[in-house]
Amino acid sequence: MPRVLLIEDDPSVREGVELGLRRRGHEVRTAPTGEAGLAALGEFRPDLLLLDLMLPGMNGVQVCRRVRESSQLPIIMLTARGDDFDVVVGLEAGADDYIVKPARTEVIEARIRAVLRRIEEPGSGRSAVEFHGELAIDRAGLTVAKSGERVALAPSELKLLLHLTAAPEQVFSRQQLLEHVWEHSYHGDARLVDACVRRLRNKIEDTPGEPRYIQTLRGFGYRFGPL
Amino acid sequence: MKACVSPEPGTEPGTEPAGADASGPAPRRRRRARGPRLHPFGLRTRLVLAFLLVAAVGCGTTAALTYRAARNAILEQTQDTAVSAFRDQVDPLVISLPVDTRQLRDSLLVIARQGKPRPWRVYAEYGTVRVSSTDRPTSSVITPELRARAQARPATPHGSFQRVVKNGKPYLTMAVPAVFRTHATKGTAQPTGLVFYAVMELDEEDANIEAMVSAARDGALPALAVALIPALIASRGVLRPVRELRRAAHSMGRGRLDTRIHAKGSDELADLARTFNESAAELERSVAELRDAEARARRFASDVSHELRTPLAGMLAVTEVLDEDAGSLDSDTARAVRLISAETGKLAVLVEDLMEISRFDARAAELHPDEVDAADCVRKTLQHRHWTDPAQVVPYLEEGIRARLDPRRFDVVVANLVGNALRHGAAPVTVRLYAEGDELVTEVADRGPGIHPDVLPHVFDRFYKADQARTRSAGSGLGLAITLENVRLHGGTVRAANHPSGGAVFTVRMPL
Amino acid sequence: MRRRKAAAVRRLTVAAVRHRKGAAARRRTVAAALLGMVSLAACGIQKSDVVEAGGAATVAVYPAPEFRMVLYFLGPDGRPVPVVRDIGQPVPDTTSPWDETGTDPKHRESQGLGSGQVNQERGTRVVTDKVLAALVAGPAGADKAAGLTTGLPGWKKPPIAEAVEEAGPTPQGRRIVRLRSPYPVMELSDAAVQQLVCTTAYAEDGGGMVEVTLTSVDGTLPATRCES
Repeated sequence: MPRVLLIEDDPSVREGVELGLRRRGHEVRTAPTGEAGLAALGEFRPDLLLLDLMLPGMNGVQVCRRVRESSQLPIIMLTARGDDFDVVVGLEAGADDYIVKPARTEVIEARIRAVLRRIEEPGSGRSAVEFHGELAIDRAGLTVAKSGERVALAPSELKLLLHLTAAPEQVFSRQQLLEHVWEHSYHGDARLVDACVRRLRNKIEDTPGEPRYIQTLRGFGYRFGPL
Repeated sequence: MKACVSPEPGTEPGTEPAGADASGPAPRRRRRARGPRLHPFGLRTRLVLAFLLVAAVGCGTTAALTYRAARNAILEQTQDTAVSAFRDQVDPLVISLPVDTRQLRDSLLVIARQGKPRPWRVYAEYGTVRVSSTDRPTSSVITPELRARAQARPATPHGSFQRVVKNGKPYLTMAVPAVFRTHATKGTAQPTGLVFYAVMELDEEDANIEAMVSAARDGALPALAVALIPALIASRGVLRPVRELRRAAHSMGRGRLDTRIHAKGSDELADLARTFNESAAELERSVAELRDAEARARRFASDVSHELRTPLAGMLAVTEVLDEDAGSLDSDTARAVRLISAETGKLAVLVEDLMEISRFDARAAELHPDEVDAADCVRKTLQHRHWTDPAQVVPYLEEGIRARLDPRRFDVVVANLVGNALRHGAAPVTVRLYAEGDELVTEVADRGPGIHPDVLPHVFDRFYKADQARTRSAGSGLGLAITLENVRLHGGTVRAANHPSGGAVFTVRMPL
Repeated sequence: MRRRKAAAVRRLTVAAVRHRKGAAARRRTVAAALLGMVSLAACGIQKSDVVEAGGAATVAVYPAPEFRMVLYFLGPDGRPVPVVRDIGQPVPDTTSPWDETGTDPKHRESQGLGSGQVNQERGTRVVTDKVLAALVAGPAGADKAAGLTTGLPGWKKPPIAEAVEEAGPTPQGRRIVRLRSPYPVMELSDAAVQQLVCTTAYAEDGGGMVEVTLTSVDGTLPATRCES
């Protein structure tokens, strides 16, 4: 069962979510502040970070950035709906998904599972490593390299890239991508896709302003290539 | 089937809820925004006319009175001069009785040459004798009245005159009866039966009077023209503030409550302007207070739901625990625990809806439009809510419509309408989706009893309970209000109506 | 009066209606005022009624009073019209019995038959009779030419004038002269009587201060004065 680190300042939410997840078999560690959470990170080694955006002192976005500096740990933000701007900032900072509070435990767990779920292996007969221009994608090892240099990708970024490259030049609408990559409902928040695409471009494109690999088709969505 | 999707137009008026039209305020504003109008009988015209009338009456009266006095003076002088001159001419005559026609004619010719102030024609009448200074024995200008007066025999005979206008020409006719003394010293003068007449043309007087009239007219017309200037100035003085007032009132009507008028001077218009300003200030203050109060109320609702959310987040997270363990508790405790769990869920929905409404009120709701396949969108909504049983929900979706909308908000709209139809109406609920012109039309119709006409205008109100007996519906009571706000955010309209064949029909129109 | 009261009541009851009509009525008033102003200033010279102005003209009638007698005939309008006849020589004016200044020779010179009485002897009226004879003779050719007629029937003899002493002067200081006519007088027209009266009056007295009674076999007409 995944190990979850929950950083949440409100005791009732902290306790409630911890209780709910633990009942479902998760190993949960909680921290009331961002600082405490970062401190617990090295020691607890969680599989996933549940991060409240509104934290006293160091806020969730800052914690998110700090974590991303050194790790590709899956991060799910806890947010209240209406804090729209925070969501965008959090996603830009590298969060993989977000959950709107209040949420039932089953919803939280479903998201955790979705983020942690491994990308299914493509059909056999394909080489483990694909080359797309200067990109080398190892589907088995789940690594991506650009011009031989490894690129560190967050789980959502990696999944998005793998999904797009699995069918190069095929257009995916944002709603489709939300369904397949994030396992959201069809009517999810397309900003997840947009933010993730931006992050991915920053990492793999030569000039993020004129993307080669992940191209936008206005009014339709995204596709990989053609190179 | 086709008939039941388009409600008859006859049922439409009055069924549109107040404010359901997202573009509602715009036409109202347009109606109020009138350009400056031309008034054929406006203040300016009336003021100018009044000025001109006063000037005309003034000029006219003065001219008329002056003219009258002058005319009378001219005529009197002429008449008096003529009558006395005539008498003076007749006085020294020596006549015989009965008159000697030849001799009398000679005398008349002499008198005729000495007309004063103007030449005259002279006539004498005695018995049947008619003598004149002209070639005609008598004049047709002399009236029978004058003759009767001259031939009357009062105690003291006197001369008389009469102005006669004949063929447009004015004449002065005079009659002087001749008397003679019967005795050198005794007795009174006795009429001789001889009457002298003189006829004098008054064309010169006429010309003089004519000149006076034209002088009065020539004086009055420029005076009227001059009166036009103060009239225009005065009307400008009145109209400028009036125009300003109108502009200000218009501007206030469009919501610019800080409009003020520059009030100067101490006349009634300045008073009016000051009153306007005071009223405007008062109105502005009242409106500001109302807005403050409204904003406070909204903020309060928002704050309350915000504050409720955090404890609810904790509670909601553990409802599962309660549900799972309820089975192992004794039945009363289990029921209580399940109740808490269920109500927590509803409370969470209510708080979420309240938050959503607060965001609309605060205009903080953002639209995140995306290009989507409309039919797909609706289908996913129904799938997601597990409304896949054809006995419950029957979709008729036109395929291939690409619309630019916020999928999450559209999902809310469709889900709320279908949910509402399933809750308050009766299955099967038909969901229709089609493009009409440049609009995307979504229709949700149920087979229930329809909406009572009294309720129709209020279906989109917040927490409006159609059935007062039912204190709380399964929904939050905000579903349709949120639907309305979401549609408005898309720039569309939503209408509620009753289908003639029964059931309620909600029609959403959104620009493609 | 009652009707006016009723009208007043009606006016009260319809006051509301009137009020609305007020504007129209006011407009009508203004229009009337303007109209009045215009008519006041009616242009040009208007015809007028007959207006009296000054006295009559006093002409001199030839011949002078001493050389004439005044007879009254009728004009075309039926009123007495004086006719003056030359009597050839001046008739000295003897004073009347009541005239205190009668002996003044100057008066004799200036007054004559033409303008009054000439009494040669007390009680006789020679000149007057002469004048009456001329009157009874009717208008002469010149008189007829001027359209004069007489109202007197064709008497052969003139009436005879005699003074009526016993009655004394009237309150206006008039003497009374009686005319005895040989013909009936009651049938005479008023105009004919006036002819006789006026002619007699001015034959008797220069100022005509005489009243005349006409008497005949058929009766006596009351004292009349010359109305001419």
